[in-house]
Parts: sequence; C-alpha cells; structure tokens
Amino acid sequence: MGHVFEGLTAFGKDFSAVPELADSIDATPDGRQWTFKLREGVLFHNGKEMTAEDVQASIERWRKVGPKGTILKNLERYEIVGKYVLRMHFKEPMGRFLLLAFGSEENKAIIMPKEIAEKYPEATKIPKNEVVGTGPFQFVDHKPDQYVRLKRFDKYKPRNDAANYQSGRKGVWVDEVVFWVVEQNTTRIAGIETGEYDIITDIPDTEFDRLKSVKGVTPVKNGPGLLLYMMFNHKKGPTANINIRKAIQAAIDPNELVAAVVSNQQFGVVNPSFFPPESPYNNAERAEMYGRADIDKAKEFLKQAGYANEELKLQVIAQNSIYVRVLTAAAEQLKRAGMNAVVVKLDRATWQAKRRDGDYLNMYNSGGYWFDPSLYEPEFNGTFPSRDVAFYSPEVEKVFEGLARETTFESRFALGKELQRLFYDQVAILNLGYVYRLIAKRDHVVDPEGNLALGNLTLHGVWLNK
Amino acid sequence: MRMITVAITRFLAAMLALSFVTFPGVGNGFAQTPKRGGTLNVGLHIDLLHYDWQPRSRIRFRT
Repeated sequence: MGHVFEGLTAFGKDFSAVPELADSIDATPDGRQWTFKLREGVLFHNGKEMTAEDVQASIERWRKVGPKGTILKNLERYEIVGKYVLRMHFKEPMGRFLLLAFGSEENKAIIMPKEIAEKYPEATKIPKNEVVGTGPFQFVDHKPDQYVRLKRFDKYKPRNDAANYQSGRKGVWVDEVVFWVVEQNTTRIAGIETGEYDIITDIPDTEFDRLKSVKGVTPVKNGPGLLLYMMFNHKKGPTANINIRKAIQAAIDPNELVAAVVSNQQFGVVNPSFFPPESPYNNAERAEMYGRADIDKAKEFLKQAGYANEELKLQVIAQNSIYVRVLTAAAEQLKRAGMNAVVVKLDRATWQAKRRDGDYLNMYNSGGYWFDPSLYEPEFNGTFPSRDVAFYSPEVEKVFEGLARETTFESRFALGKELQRLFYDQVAILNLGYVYRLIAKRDHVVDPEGNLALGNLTLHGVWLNK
Repeated sequence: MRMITVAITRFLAAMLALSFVTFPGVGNGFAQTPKRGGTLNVGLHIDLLHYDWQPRSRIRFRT
C-alpha cells in the first residue's frame, strides 16, 4: 500500500532510510530527542492538510498495533513543537535505526489523519472508505481476490529532491492502476503476452529467457535478495528443544533448496549471512555452520535430544509455489536425517492463525528483507508471531539494546555480526537461501528510474507510452 | 512598427520560456518526457489486501 500511504521516512535506492513526509530530521547528540519537521502543504486524500497532530496519532497507533511498534518501547512522550514539527523524547538513547523502522518496507509507520488513527486503534479495523493516506494514488475500490483499483491523487504534492525509489520526487503519470489477482502463473504470463496486463509479478524464473524473446515484453530481475527462512516454535513441542533445532540446522542443505526453487542461476544465491548480499551488514560470521548437510551430525543431535520420531510439521501457505517447493525440499532433507517431517499446506488465514498457536506450530517458512540488524528486533524479542511460540534470549536482547544505542556503522556492524553468531548458536532462525524475483512489463511501460527492478512494486515514476 | 516587433519578440521569448516550464521533460526535472494518462493493469498472484484492511507499506512478499 506504499502507493496510498507514506511515512516520515522511506527506503531510498540503497535501502537506507531517507525523509519522505519529513522535511528534515534532527537528533540531539545523546539520541534522546528526535525532531521531525514535516513538509508543509501535504494533503491527505480527504483534502485535509497533514500536520504534526496527524503524525503523532499515526505513530502512536503504529506503536500499539504495528509488529515493529516495540521499537518505541523507550518513548517517553511526544511534543508538538509547531503545526509542522513533532518531537519525540526517549528515555534511552535512540539510534538512527528509528528512521529505518519508520520507513521499513514491512509494517511501515504510515501516516493517516488523526481522526482515523484514533477512531481505529486496532490493526485490522479500518473500513475501506477511511483508507486515507498522502500517497500518489488514492484508493477507489477493492473486490476481494479479484482486484484493487487506485486512481491518481491529483493534489499529490511531490518532494523537490531527486527521485529515490520510494521517496524523492514522485512523478504520477497514469490515471489509474488496477491490481488484478491472477493466481495462475500461466494466466498471468499469457496476459502479459496478449497485452491484457502491462506488468505482471512473481513469475517463475524459468520464464526469464523465453520472455526475452517475446515481442513487446521485457523481463525484469527484481532484487535485493529475499531471504527464505524457517522459523520455529521456541516454546512448545519438539522444536523447543535446541538439540532438535541443531539437528535441523545440521541437516539442511541450502544449495539443494535454492536449486529446488530457481532454475536460472542468477535468481538464487546461497549466502550464510542473515543480511542480504546487497546489505552493508552482510558478513561471514558462523559461515562454517551454514549448509553443512551433515546427516551424521544431525543424528547425533537427535540422539542428544532423545528424539522419538515425533512429527515435525512444516507449515506453508499452499498458494505460494516457491515456499511450497523450498519447504518440500527441506522436509526431504530432514527425513534423510531420520526426522518425521511433514509438509502441511494451509491457506493464508489458517497459516497465520496456526503460526501463533503454541500447541500446533512446529515450523513455518517465509521470506523477508532485513537490511539492518535492528529490523530483526520485533521478530526476536519474545512477542512474534505470538508470545506462545516466540524466540527470546537475553543475549540477543542485549545486542538489540546495543544496536538501538550505537550510531557508527563500525560498532553496529560488530553488533550485526554478534546477532548473526547468536542466531546460529541458538538456532533462532534458519537461512534457507536467497532468491530474486522476476517480473515482466510490456515495452510501452516506461520506468526511467528503474523502480521495477527494486524491492516492492513501485509505480510512481512509471508511465504508459502508447 | 518597432513596437509591434518588440511585442512579437517578447511574445516569442515568453512562449520559449513557457515551453521550458510547461512541457514535461524539458524543465521539470525529469530526464525523459513523461506521458500522462491511461490505466496500468498489473497482474499479481495474490490479493494485496488479503482479508482485512490492515494498512501497511507492503504485504510481506509471498506470505
């Protein structure tokens, strides 16, 4: 929904946080006061001008309902310094990762009118007619599992600085955007070839070479690398035992997993780091523990755990072919090491509910972009996806506290390495490999900024030359 | 006559200046000439809005 909503900050082309609705951002040297001067004259889709009050209410809502809201646990108070100036006071020093959290591609701290933010204090309760942001497109209509229709926000006020992925000057050229839900890959691909669609996403990489030869169509490799990962129930069941997790870690062969997911070499990367190859935090800490595919070692850990052939459920969203493939291959690897691994395919809603259920969950997989070590905090602080299953360790908490304080890259890089070491040693999460996405566009779709090759589908700056 | 010439010159100069402001791609900061209009049809494999209206910058990829 980055087309409809904006935040104080957003990700730039290098995936650092840059101002979006903020005009300038200042912090005191001790990191306890952060002052956000807002851009003036920015309108919400309902015609109201954005002020510091709206931002305060939106941040407060995000603090309470957003999975990353825990980042503000040391927030002492807000101070509205002026109509367009909001200051945040923290009990402890807060590093620049605050800006990354606000602008994060996942669970961004979106800004909405105060009235709406306060009226709907729960995450899932905003009705369609009150989906109001400041973004370049505004919401028109949504038919579940069929389409989402947006139209250009004619009163959109772009920034004046150079276009920079999700921020900078956003040109808004098309009148409307319709996102059609087309589950079948073959149907989407046929649709781009006939011209029914201008852009399609999530195409199997096997199509890359073929699409290059289709007249009027251009395939686009989309990055950065998406980390495919496996998460565990750390509280109950077999995976609460670290030796079971170590057995799983020892048995996994990411080379084989990535090969199961991509056929075109340039769309998959095996890399030991929990930070993608494009991240400055990418490092080789504990690389020796990665991709061992050591069946004997796995069996040793199982013995230490007293494993008695308990079922190990690997739950996956049925509609996601990549995730199904990677998890099916992972289950085979676990079986080879003597584990009773079973792939359970669920619809998305059930999958979400089951991964919070401490009595049900063993393992689930997903994918994410974690450019900065602090971005792991919300998912490894003992609360995610629920307190009944979540990972927590005092050592990891200490690293997150350090990351929140430290501002120099060198010190944060050292903490990022420490986090990676702990993730390996405590088997908090498993790295299954990195994949790149393939999308395709018709040649009449002009994308001068190269936004389509970056991260999430970003349609500002794009126009139709037909 | 001179007044008419000056007026025409001024008019042409104004038009020239205006062209740099009005015509996209010349004086608007964009490297190419953007074209306005049209509907962009995008084929996605999932419903971006899933089952609720929890607004977020993105739905985590492929979950």
